[in-house]
Amino acid sequence: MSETEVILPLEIIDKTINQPVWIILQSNREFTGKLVGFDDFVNVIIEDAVEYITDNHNQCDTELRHHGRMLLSGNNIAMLVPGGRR
Amino acid sequence: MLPLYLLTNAKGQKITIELKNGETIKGVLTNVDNWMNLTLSDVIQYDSDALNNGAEKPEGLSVPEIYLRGTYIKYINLQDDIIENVRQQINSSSNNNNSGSGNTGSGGGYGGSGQGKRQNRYNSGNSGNYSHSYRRGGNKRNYNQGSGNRRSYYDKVNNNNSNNNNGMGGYVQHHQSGPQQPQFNENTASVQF
Amino acid sequence: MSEMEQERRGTSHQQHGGQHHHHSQHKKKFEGPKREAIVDLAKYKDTKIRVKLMGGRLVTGVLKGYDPLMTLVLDETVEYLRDLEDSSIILKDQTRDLGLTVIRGTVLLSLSPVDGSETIYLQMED
Repeated sequence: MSETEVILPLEIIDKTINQPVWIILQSNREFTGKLVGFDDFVNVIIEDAVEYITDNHNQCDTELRHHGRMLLSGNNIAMLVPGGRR
Repeated sequence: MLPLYLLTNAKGQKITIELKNGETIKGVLTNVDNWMNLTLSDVIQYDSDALNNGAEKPEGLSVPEIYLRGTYIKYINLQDDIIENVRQQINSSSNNNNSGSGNTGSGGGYGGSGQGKRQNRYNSGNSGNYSHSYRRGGNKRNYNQGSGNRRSYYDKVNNNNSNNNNGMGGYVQHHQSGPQQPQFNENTASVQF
Repeated sequence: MSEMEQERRGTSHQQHGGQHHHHSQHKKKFEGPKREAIVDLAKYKDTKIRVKLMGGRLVTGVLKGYDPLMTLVLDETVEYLRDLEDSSIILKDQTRDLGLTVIRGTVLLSLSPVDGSETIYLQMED
């Protein structure tokens, strides 16, 4: 049954609440952190975020650490990867 | 002649699309929606530059079908005779319907009540859109209890097609003038190109 | 909420009822653009699809889920990386595995099946 059922994207995101998430923006910027919450526009709040600015998506150039919570506008988010960065 | 109408009636024809990233897509138009999102079949896609720069072996990709976002389209090349074909379609449908002299009547009324209807549609569509987003927001709180809520949301979306815009640029709803079609019939002026 | 629901139903019914007559007469001959979804993602479920995103990213993956906004759930997602100098050039041999991903429908630019697609060499037309 669940094999044939369509997985709803927002349910997937919901299940990653309180777990590490990897958020890839449209630009060459990525964030990881613990997913605190999100809304229907996929604005996202993450905790203790690490920001990665990649060099044309090939190598990781810069790592910025942010403490506390961060709100990411859903506008620029392209992909969300549950489980964090690989 | 609204561009989207022209396009909608070009289904089944081979068209060429240039995308904003410079890619060219050629294929048979299978479907169009209100936001100029398209589906094509028997598609080839290639980088326009690759051809122009005279690369030795310009590469392309052949795909059985493709879905394209309307906002990503730079322009569309249609077949030369498309306008003529669509005009004929319009004329033939107007001939069929001219028996209903009510057409002229409703056409006359179009500026008044017809316009009002359009306004209505526009407004109600919009409010539908907003309440739709809010409702989703409201649902969110509950949907841990199971997929029940979500699913019902989808059901609503599906059942409520008249108010459904899937959030992709729903504000262009005034393009949706489908049922006002009769205006083309008696106002031949509006089918002049 | 149910009140709003009622109201919306009411309006939609009115609209429909008022114009249904003309509409049905014309539907076959001359149709307008559609408001409902024009692509049925169900047919791609559990198959590999290629998706282009705003900003120039290209990913492939097995479609596991979707919603009406075309938000996608892809499994075994692979992102094709781009050239260092010119980010519009996609390098076919440089990829990274992302695993299970959710892709926002708002950034989706094009979607096509991987099965049945092949690289071709173009011939100059004229």
